[in-house]
Amino acid sequence: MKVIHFEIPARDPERLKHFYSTVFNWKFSQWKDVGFWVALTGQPPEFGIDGGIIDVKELDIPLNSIIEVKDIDEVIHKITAKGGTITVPKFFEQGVGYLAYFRDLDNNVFGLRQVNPLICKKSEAYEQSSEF
Amino acid sequence: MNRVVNFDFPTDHPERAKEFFTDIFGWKFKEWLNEDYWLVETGDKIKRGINGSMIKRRLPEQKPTIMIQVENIDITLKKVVDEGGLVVFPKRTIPKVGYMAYFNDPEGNTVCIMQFTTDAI
Repeated sequence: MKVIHFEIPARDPERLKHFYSTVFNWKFSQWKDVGFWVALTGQPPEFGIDGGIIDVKELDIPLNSIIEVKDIDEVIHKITAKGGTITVPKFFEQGVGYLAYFRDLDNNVFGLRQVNPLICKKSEAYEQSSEF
Repeated sequence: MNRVVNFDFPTDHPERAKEFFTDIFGWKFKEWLNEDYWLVETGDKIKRGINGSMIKRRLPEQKPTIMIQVENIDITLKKVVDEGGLVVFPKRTIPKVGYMAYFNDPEGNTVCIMQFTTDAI
Protein backbone atom coordinates (compact mmCIF):
# COMPACT_ATOMS: atom_id res chain seq x y z
CA MET A 1 0.00 0.00 0.00
CA LYS A 2 1.61 3.14 -1.24
CA VAL A 3 2.32 6.56 0.21
CA ILE A 4 0.34 8.97 -1.96
CA HIS A 5 0.29 12.25 -0.05
CA PHE A 6 2.15 14.19 2.64
CA GLU A 7 1.16 16.85 5.17
CA ILE A 8 3.29 19.59 6.70
CA PRO A 9 1.83 21.18 9.83
CA ALA A 10 1.91 24.96 10.30
CA ARG A 11 1.10 27.36 13.12
CA ASP A 12 1.47 30.16 10.58
CA PRO A 13 0.36 28.69 7.22
CA GLU A 14 1.13 31.90 5.27
CA ARG A 15 4.76 31.76 6.39
CA LEU A 16 5.18 28.12 5.35
CA LYS A 17 3.33 28.56 2.06
CA HIS A 18 5.71 31.41 1.27
CA PHE A 19 8.72 29.29 2.28
CA TYR A 20 7.86 26.20 0.22
CA SER A 21 6.68 28.16 -2.82
CA THR A 22 9.86 30.28 -2.82
CA VAL A 23 12.35 27.47 -2.19
CA PHE A 24 10.70 24.62 -4.11
CA ASN A 25 8.30 26.43 -6.43
CA TRP A 26 5.25 24.61 -5.08
CA LYS A 27 1.82 25.98 -6.00
CA PHE A 28 -0.78 26.21 -3.24
CA SER A 29 -4.56 26.32 -3.39
CA GLN A 30 -6.90 26.35 -0.42
CA TRP A 31 -9.03 23.24 0.14
CA LYS A 32 -12.65 24.36 0.57
CA ASP A 33 -12.60 27.11 3.21
CA VAL A 34 -10.71 25.16 5.86
CA GLY A 35 -7.12 25.43 7.10
CA PHE A 36 -5.65 23.13 4.48
CA TRP A 37 -3.77 24.14 1.36
CA VAL A 38 -3.09 21.60 -1.37
CA ALA A 39 0.53 21.71 -2.53
CA LEU A 40 1.06 20.95 -6.20
CA THR A 41 4.72 19.92 -6.43
CA GLY A 42 4.93 19.05 -10.13
CA GLN A 43 3.12 17.35 -12.96
CA PRO A 44 2.91 13.72 -14.02
CA PRO A 45 4.63 11.92 -15.69
CA GLU A 46 7.34 13.44 -13.48
CA PHE A 47 7.72 11.00 -10.58
CA GLY A 48 6.57 12.09 -7.13
CA ILE A 49 3.56 13.03 -5.04
CA ASP A 50 1.65 16.14 -4.04
CA GLY A 51 0.75 17.07 -0.50
CA GLY A 52 -0.44 19.91 1.61
CA ILE A 53 0.10 22.35 4.44
CA ILE A 54 -2.29 21.93 7.32
CA ASP A 55 -3.07 24.54 9.96
CA VAL A 56 -2.49 22.90 13.36
CA LYS A 57 -5.67 24.66 14.52
CA GLU A 58 -7.50 22.52 11.93
CA LEU A 59 -5.83 19.28 12.99
CA ASP A 60 -2.86 19.09 15.35
CA ILE A 61 -0.63 16.50 13.72
CA PRO A 62 3.10 16.25 13.00
CA LEU A 63 4.59 16.10 9.50
CA ASN A 64 3.31 12.84 8.04
CA SER A 65 3.04 10.65 5.00
CA ILE A 66 -0.36 9.28 4.04
CA ILE A 67 -0.77 5.64 3.00
CA GLU A 68 -3.59 4.76 0.64
CA VAL A 69 -5.54 1.72 1.80
CA LYS A 70 -8.40 -0.27 0.33
CA ASP A 71 -10.24 -0.98 3.57
CA ILE A 72 -9.49 1.52 6.34
CA ASP A 73 -11.47 -0.38 8.99
CA GLU A 74 -9.49 -3.55 8.39
CA VAL A 75 -6.18 -1.64 8.51
CA ILE A 76 -7.14 0.16 11.73
CA HIS A 77 -8.03 -3.17 13.28
CA LYS A 78 -4.65 -4.65 12.27
CA ILE A 79 -2.76 -1.60 13.58
CA THR A 80 -4.28 -1.84 17.03
CA ALA A 81 -3.91 -5.64 17.07
CA LYS A 82 -0.17 -5.19 16.40
CA GLY A 83 0.27 -2.62 19.18
CA GLY A 84 -0.03 0.61 17.18
CA THR A 85 -2.24 3.48 18.36
CA ILE A 86 -4.94 5.36 16.49
CA THR A 87 -4.26 9.04 17.22
CA VAL A 88 -7.08 10.49 15.07
CA PRO A 89 -10.02 8.13 14.60
CA LYS A 90 -11.54 7.58 11.17
CA PHE A 91 -13.45 10.56 9.81
CA PHE A 92 -15.03 11.37 6.48
CA GLU A 93 -13.88 14.27 4.31
CA GLN A 94 -16.20 15.06 1.42
CA GLY A 95 -14.33 14.81 -1.87
CA VAL A 96 -11.45 12.85 -0.30
CA GLY A 97 -12.80 9.82 1.49
CA TYR A 98 -12.01 8.32 4.88
CA LEU A 99 -8.96 9.52 6.79
CA ALA A 100 -7.33 8.43 10.06
CA TYR A 101 -3.92 8.79 11.71
CA PHE A 102 -1.90 6.29 13.72
CA ARG A 103 1.31 5.93 15.69
CA ASP A 104 3.57 2.96 14.95
CA LEU A 105 5.61 1.11 17.60
CA ASP A 106 8.38 3.75 17.36
CA ASN A 107 6.00 6.68 17.94
CA ASN A 108 6.01 7.71 14.27
CA VAL A 109 2.75 9.21 13.02
CA PHE A 110 1.37 8.22 9.59
CA GLY A 111 -1.92 9.00 7.88
CA LEU A 112 -4.35 6.57 6.26
CA ARG A 113 -6.70 7.33 3.42
CA GLN A 114 -9.39 5.24 1.81
CA VAL A 115 -10.90 6.78 -1.25
CA ASN A 116 -14.64 6.61 -0.85
CA PRO A 117 -16.06 4.23 -3.49
CA LEU A 118 -19.31 6.24 -3.51
CA ILE A 119 -17.45 9.35 -4.69
CA CYS A 120 -15.89 7.37 -7.54
CA LYS A 121 -19.18 5.81 -8.53
CA LYS A 122 -20.93 9.17 -8.50
CA SER A 123 -18.28 10.87 -10.62
CA GLU A 124 -18.21 7.95 -13.05
CA ALA A 125 -22.00 8.09 -13.28
CA TYR A 126 -21.78 11.81 -13.83
CA GLU A 127 -19.23 11.40 -16.62
CA GLN A 128 -21.35 8.76 -18.29
CA SER A 129 -24.54 10.79 -18.04
CA SER A 130 -22.80 13.91 -19.33
CA GLU A 131 -22.03 12.11 -22.58
CA PHE A 132 -25.68 12.02 -23.49
CA MET B 1 9.15 22.48 -9.34
CA ASN B 2 10.63 20.06 -6.87
CA ARG B 3 8.68 16.91 -6.11
CA VAL B 4 8.47 14.72 -3.05
CA VAL B 5 9.98 11.40 -4.15
CA ASN B 6 10.55 9.43 -0.95
CA PHE B 7 9.65 9.31 2.75
CA ASP B 8 11.67 8.09 5.70
CA PHE B 9 11.05 7.14 9.31
CA PRO B 10 13.28 6.16 12.24
CA THR B 11 13.13 3.01 14.33
CA ASP B 12 14.75 1.71 17.49
CA HIS B 13 13.79 -1.86 16.67
CA PRO B 14 14.23 -2.57 12.95
CA GLU B 15 12.99 -6.17 13.06
CA ARG B 16 9.84 -5.22 14.96
CA ALA B 17 9.13 -2.29 12.63
CA LYS B 18 9.67 -4.43 9.53
CA GLU B 19 7.19 -6.99 10.79
CA PHE B 20 4.65 -4.26 11.66
CA PHE B 21 4.67 -2.60 8.23
CA THR B 22 5.00 -5.85 6.27
CA ASP B 23 2.04 -7.49 8.02
CA ILE B 24 -0.25 -4.46 7.81
CA PHE B 25 0.73 -2.77 4.53
CA GLY B 26 2.62 -5.45 2.61
CA TRP B 27 5.81 -3.36 2.49
CA LYS B 28 9.09 -5.01 1.52
CA PHE B 29 12.38 -4.05 3.22
CA LYS B 30 15.86 -4.38 1.76
CA GLU B 31 18.93 -3.41 3.78
CA TRP B 32 21.17 -0.94 2.00
CA LEU B 33 24.97 -1.21 2.30
CA ASN B 34 24.79 -2.51 5.90
CA GLU B 35 24.29 1.05 7.10
CA ASP B 36 21.26 0.49 9.31
CA TYR B 37 19.26 1.87 6.40
CA TRP B 38 16.50 -0.03 4.65
CA LEU B 39 14.85 0.69 1.32
CA VAL B 40 11.10 0.25 1.65
CA GLU B 41 9.16 -0.93 -1.36
CA THR B 42 5.54 0.01 -0.77
CA GLY B 43 3.85 -1.48 -3.81
CA ASP B 44 3.53 -1.88 -7.51
CA LYS B 45 5.92 0.37 -9.46
CA ILE B 46 3.36 1.32 -12.06
CA LYS B 47 0.89 2.63 -9.48
CA ARG B 48 1.11 6.22 -8.33
CA GLY B 49 2.82 6.78 -5.01
CA ILE B 50 6.32 6.69 -3.60
CA ASN B 51 8.65 4.32 -1.80
CA GLY B 52 10.44 5.03 1.46
CA SER B 53 13.36 4.37 3.74
CA MET B 54 13.63 3.16 7.29
CA ILE B 55 16.57 4.41 9.34
CA LYS B 56 17.96 3.13 12.64
CA ARG B 57 17.41 6.06 14.98
CA ARG B 58 20.47 8.27 15.32
CA LEU B 59 18.98 11.16 17.28
CA PRO B 60 16.36 10.93 20.05
CA GLU B 61 14.23 13.66 18.43
CA GLN B 62 14.33 12.09 14.94
CA LYS B 63 10.91 12.02 13.26
CA PRO B 64 9.43 10.75 10.01
CA THR B 65 10.00 13.04 7.07
CA ILE B 66 9.72 13.45 3.32
CA MET B 67 12.44 13.78 0.70
CA ILE B 68 12.26 16.51 -1.93
CA GLN B 69 14.27 16.03 -5.10
CA VAL B 70 16.22 19.12 -6.20
CA GLU B 71 18.36 19.92 -9.25
CA ASN B 72 21.17 21.62 -7.36
CA ILE B 73 21.47 21.06 -3.62
CA ASP B 74 23.82 24.00 -3.03
CA ILE B 75 21.39 26.48 -4.59
CA THR B 76 18.48 24.99 -2.65
CA LEU B 77 20.37 25.06 0.66
CA LYS B 78 21.17 28.73 0.12
CA LYS B 79 17.49 29.48 -0.56
CA VAL B 80 16.47 27.51 2.55
CA VAL B 81 18.71 29.67 4.72
CA ASP B 82 17.71 32.90 2.95
CA GLU B 83 14.05 32.12 3.64
CA GLY B 84 14.50 31.43 7.35
CA GLY B 85 15.17 27.68 7.37
CA LEU B 86 18.02 26.00 9.20
CA VAL B 87 20.36 23.32 7.85
CA VAL B 88 20.37 20.62 10.53
CA PHE B 89 22.31 17.91 8.69
CA PRO B 90 24.74 19.37 6.17
CA LYS B 91 25.23 18.15 2.63
CA ARG B 92 26.51 14.61 2.56
CA THR B 93 27.79 12.67 -0.45
CA ILE B 94 26.31 9.28 -1.14
CA PRO B 95 28.68 7.78 -3.71
CA LYS B 96 27.09 7.18 -7.12
CA VAL B 97 23.67 8.23 -5.79
CA GLY B 98 23.90 11.92 -5.08
CA TYR B 99 23.96 14.57 -2.36
CA MET B 100 21.65 14.70 0.60
CA ALA B 101 20.92 17.17 3.40
CA TYR B 102 18.27 17.83 6.05
CA PHE B 103 16.87 21.21 7.01
CA ASN B 104 14.28 22.62 9.39
CA ASP B 105 11.64 24.84 7.83
CA PRO B 106 10.75 28.11 9.67
CA GLU B 107 8.41 26.16 11.96
CA GLY B 108 10.92 23.46 12.83
CA ASN B 109 9.62 20.68 10.56
CA THR B 110 12.59 18.59 9.44
CA VAL B 111 12.69 17.82 5.70
CA CYS B 112 15.24 15.99 3.54
CA ILE B 113 16.51 17.19 0.16
CA MET B 114 18.32 15.09 -2.40
CA GLN B 115 20.15 15.83 -5.61
CA PHE B 116 20.46 12.62 -7.58
CA THR B 117 23.65 12.30 -9.63
CA THR B 118 25.71 9.23 -10.38
CA ASP B 119 28.74 11.56 -10.56
CA ALA B 120 28.77 11.98 -6.78
CA ILE B 121 31.95 10.52 -5.24
